[in-house]
Amino acid sequence: MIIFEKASKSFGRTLALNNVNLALPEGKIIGLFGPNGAGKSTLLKAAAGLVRLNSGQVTVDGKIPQQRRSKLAYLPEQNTLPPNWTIKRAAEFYRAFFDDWDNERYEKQLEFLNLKDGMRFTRASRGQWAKARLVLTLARQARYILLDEPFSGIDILAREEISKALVRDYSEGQQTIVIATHEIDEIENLVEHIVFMDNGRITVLGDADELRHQEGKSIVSIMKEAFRHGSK
Amino acid sequence: MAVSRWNIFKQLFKKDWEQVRTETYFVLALALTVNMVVNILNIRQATPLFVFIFIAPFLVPLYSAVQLFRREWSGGTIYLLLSLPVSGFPIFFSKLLAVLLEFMIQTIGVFGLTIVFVYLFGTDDPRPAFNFNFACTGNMVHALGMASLIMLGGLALVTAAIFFSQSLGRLVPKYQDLSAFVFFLLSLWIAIKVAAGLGGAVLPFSTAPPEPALIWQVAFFLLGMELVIAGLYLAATAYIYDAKLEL
Amino acid sequence: MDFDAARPIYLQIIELHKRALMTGKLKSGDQILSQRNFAEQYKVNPNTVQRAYREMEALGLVETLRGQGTFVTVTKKQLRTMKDETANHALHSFICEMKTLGFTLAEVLTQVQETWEKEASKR
Repeated sequence: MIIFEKASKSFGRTLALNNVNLALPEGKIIGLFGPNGAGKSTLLKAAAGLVRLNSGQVTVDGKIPQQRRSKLAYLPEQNTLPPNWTIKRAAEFYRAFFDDWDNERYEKQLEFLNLKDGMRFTRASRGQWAKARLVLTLARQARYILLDEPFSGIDILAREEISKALVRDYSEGQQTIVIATHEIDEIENLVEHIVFMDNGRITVLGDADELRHQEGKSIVSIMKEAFRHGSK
Repeated sequence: MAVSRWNIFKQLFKKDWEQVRTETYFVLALALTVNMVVNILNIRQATPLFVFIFIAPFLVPLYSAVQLFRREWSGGTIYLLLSLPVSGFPIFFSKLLAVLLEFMIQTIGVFGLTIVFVYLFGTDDPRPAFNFNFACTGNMVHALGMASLIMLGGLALVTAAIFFSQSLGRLVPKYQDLSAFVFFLLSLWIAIKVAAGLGGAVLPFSTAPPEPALIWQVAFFLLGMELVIAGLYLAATAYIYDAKLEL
Repeated sequence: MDFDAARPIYLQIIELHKRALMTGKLKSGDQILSQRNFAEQYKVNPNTVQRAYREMEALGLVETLRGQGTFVTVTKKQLRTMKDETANHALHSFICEMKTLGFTLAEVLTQVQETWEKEASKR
C-alpha cells in the first residue's frame, strides 16, 4: 500500500503538497483528479521517489519509495527515453532492470495498439509515442503503476485505444494503478476510486460508484462543486 | 527473465557509450581529414593543425563528460534513471568508463593515424624517430606506460570531479551551471591540495639529486592519489544521487 | 453505449442486461461477454464489472461456469416479474404526469387507444 503521512512539499513559495494524509487502496484503479497545478504530479513523483518531502513521509509497502523501485512503474508526463531509441531498444533496456517484465504482454500490446517495435521515437507521432510509452510501462507486471497525464496531447482515437489497453492487461486486485489527469471524462468509468486534489490538499476521496450514489451527480460535477468550495 | 547485475551494467554502459560515440568518431574523422589534407596538399606549416588534433583527445572527452550529465536532464532521461532500481554508483561508474574508453580510442586513433601517414607519405625515413620505442630497453617502455596510466588516472579524476560538481550544482535552486563550474574548480583545487600535502608528508623529498627510484615512487603515488580521489568523488556523486537529487 | 455519469455504473450494467433480457436480445442459455471483454469494450473498471456480474448472479439472472463463461439462466417467471416491474414503473410515471396535466381516466384511455393505433399503422 502507498501511504502518505503529513506529507508536505514546496517548490520555492508554492506549496505543492500541503500536509497530505492518504492511503491509496490496494488493487484498484484510482483516478487522481484536480485542476492543473493542484499537486497531482508532485504526489505521484513523491510516491515514485523522485521528489523528497520537506516534512512527513511516504511509504510503499512500509518502505521508502527509493527502496521499492522494482515494484513501481512510473510514467511521467514528459518524455524519458533517448529520442534515437526504437521501441525495441527501450524494451531491451527495461527488461534488464525489471524482473517483472512480461514479454508476452509486451508483444500482445504492441500488436493490439498497432505499433512496430522498430519504430524510432523521433519518427513517431504524438499518439504513437504516447502509446509506445504506455506499452513499455504496462509490460511490467508491476504492483504499482503510476501514470501522469497519459492522455495529454493525444487525439480521441488514441485515447480510446489507451483506455482499452489499460483494461486489457489490468490484473484485478493485484495491481494498483493511479492515473493522474485533469481530463476526467476520458476515464470516468475506468476508475474505481477517486482522489481529488486542489491546492496541494485532498478534497474529495472515495469509491466512484458510492460517490455517484450519495450525491446523485457525476464525478465531474462533484469535482466542480468541490473546486468551487475550495476556491472560496 | 532474471535480472543480473552484469546485464544491468551492460545496458547502462551501452546507453552512455551511444552518447559519446558521436564525439569519438568526430575526433577520429578530424584526425583522418587533417592527415589527408596535409599530406596530399603537401602543406608545410602544418604544426598548428597537428597541435589541434593532438589536443582533441584530451579536451573532447571532458566535453563529453559534461554533456553526459547535462543531457540526462535536458532530454528527460533522468526520469528514467531515477526510476530504475539501481543506485548511483553503477550509473556514474558506467559514465566514467564511457569517457575513459572514448579517451583511449581517441588517443590511439589520432596518434596511430598520424604515425601511419608519416610512414606512408614521409619524405625522410621516419623510422629512426620512432625506433627509440622499440630500441630502448625496459625503462623507456615502462616510463611511457606509466605516463599513459597517469594520464588516464588524471582524466578519471577530472571526470569524477565534473560529475560531482554537476550533481552538487543540481542541488542549488538557481544558476546551476555557474555553481557547477565553481564547484568543479573547488574540487580540483582540493584534489591538488590534498595530493600535494600528502605527497610532501609521505615522500622522501629530502634527497637532493632526484634518484630514478624516487621518480618511480612519485609516479606511483601520483597514480594512486588520482585513483583514490577519483573514487572518492565518484562515491560522493553516487551519494548525492541516492540521497539528495530530486526532480 | 454511454453510461449516465451521474448514476453508479454497476447498476447501469445490470440494467443494460435486464433490458436485453426483456426485449429478447438475450435468451436463457445465451453466453454473455466475459467480464474482461465487457470491461474492455465499454472501457469500464474491471472491478465494477465484477460487482455487477456478482449481483446478477445473486439475482439468478446469469451463472458463471468455471472456464466456460457466463450464461443467461433467467426463468420465465423472473422475466415476467421483471417486465411487470418495468411496466409498473413506466405506467406510474405516465399516470402521474397525466394527472398533473389534469386529464381524466377516460380522456387518457381514448388518447392511448388513438396513439396506439397510429403507431401500429405506421409499421
